[in-house]
Amino acid sequence: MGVINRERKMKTKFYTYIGIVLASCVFLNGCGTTGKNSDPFEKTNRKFYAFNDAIDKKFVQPVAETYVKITPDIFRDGVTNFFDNLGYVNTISNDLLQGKINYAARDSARFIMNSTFGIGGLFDPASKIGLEKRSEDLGQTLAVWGASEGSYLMVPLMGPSSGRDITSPVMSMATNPMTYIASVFTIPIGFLKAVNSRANLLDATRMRDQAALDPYTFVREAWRQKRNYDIFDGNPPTEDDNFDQILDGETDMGVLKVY
Amino acid sequence: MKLKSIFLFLIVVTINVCSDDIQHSITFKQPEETVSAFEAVTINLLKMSIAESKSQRFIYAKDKIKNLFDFKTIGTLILGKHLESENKDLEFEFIKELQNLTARTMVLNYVNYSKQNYKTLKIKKNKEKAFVFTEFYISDNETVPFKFILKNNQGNWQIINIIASGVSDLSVKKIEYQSFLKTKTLSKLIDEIKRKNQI
Repeated sequence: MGVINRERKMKTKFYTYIGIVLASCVFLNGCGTTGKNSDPFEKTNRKFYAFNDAIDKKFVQPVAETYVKITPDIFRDGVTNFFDNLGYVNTISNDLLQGKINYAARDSARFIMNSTFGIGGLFDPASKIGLEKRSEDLGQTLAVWGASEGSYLMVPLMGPSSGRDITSPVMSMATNPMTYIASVFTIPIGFLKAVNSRANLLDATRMRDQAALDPYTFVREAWRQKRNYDIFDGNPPTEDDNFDQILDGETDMGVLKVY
Repeated sequence: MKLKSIFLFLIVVTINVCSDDIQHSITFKQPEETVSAFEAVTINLLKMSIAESKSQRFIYAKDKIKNLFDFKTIGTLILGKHLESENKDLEFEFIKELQNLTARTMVLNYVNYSKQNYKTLKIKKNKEKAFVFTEFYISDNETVPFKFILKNNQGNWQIINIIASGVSDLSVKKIEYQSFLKTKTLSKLIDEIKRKNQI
C-alpha cells in the first residue's frame, strides 16, 4: 500500500514538473527579447547579485573552502563524478530533444559504463576510453530550437540565468533520480552537492575577484559566452573574416564573437 | 673583498641587462612559437609558486609577457573610440596597467604545480592572423580548451586574445571597461586598474 502511495506521489511530482516546464516554455515566448539591450532588468539584477554575493562570501564560500581543505582531491573528484553521472538522464533526454542521436548513444554508453564499472558513478572509466564528459540542458535545447536568449536574469540564491535558461533547473530536477528519493537522504546529499559545486567554482570566483573592475558585468559576460560555447558544443560560429576589420577599428562587435 | 663583491655585482647587473635586451629582441616567427613560449611561462609560474614570492613571480611574468602579447592592439580593441579622444600619455599608461594586470592575474592563477601541461590541437593561420587551439590539462577530471588569437606584427607573432572554455578575455574586458567609460573618464579607469593591481 505504502509503495503504491509513493509511486502515485512520484508520478504526481513528475507531471507537476512537466506542467511547469511547458508553462514556462509558453511564458518564455513572452520573455524573449530581440532588442539590443538584453539586460533590461539590470538594476534589479544588480541587487540580487549583491544579495547572492553577500550570502556567498559570508556562508557558502567559507564552507566550500573548508570542504576543500579537509577533503582529499580523490574524494571531491568522486563526489563530482557521482553528481555528474546522475545528471546524465537530463543530458541524454536533451540530446534526443535536440536530435543529437550520436551524442545520445555516446552519453548513454557513458552513463551505463560509469554507473556499473564506475561504482554508481563515483569513478569515471568512460572518459579513459574516449567517452568524454558532456552536459546538455533544457536551455541549450531551447536555443537549438531557435529560442532567443531573452533577458539576462540574476536569480536569488541560484546565480546567472536568462529567460531561455530559467526553466533548465526544473527539467534537471524532474530527470534526476535523487528527486524521487525520500528527503531524509536528499537533504544531506543536496547539501553535499551544493558545497561540492561551489568548491568547483572557487577558482572561477577567485579569478573574478582578481580581474574584474565590475564583478556583475564580468560574471554576466563570462556566463553568456560560456552558455553560447556550450550551446554550440564547443564550436560556436566564429567571425574570423571580421578579423582585419576589427584591427582596423571598423567593427567592434566581431571581436566579441570570436570564440 | 669589497672590490670583488662590487665586481661580481656589476657582472650580474650586466648579464641581467643583456638578457633583458635579448629577451625583448626575440621574434616569434611562427604563432605556435609564441603560444609555446606563453605556455612555458605559465608552467614556470606554477613551478615557481612552490618556493618563490608573489612579487618575484610578478617581475618574472611581467618581463616575459612584454613580447608575447601585443598590448597596444589589445588596448585599442578594448577602448575603441574612447581611445581616440584621449591623449597619448593616458594611452601609454593604460597599456602599462593592462600589462601589469595580465601579469598579476597570471601570477595569482598559475599556482600549485601538479604536472599540468598543454597539448596543441590545431592551428589556423594566414599572413596576418592565426588561431592556435590548445588544451590545458589540469587533472584527469579537468582540462580547459584554449584558443589563442595572434597577430603578425612585421614577422613577430603576438597574442591579442586568449579564449578559455569559450570565454574571451578581450571581450569581457572590452564590455566591462566600456561600460565603466560610459559614466567615467579614462584616467578614472586607469586608477581603478591600478587599485586592482595593488590588492
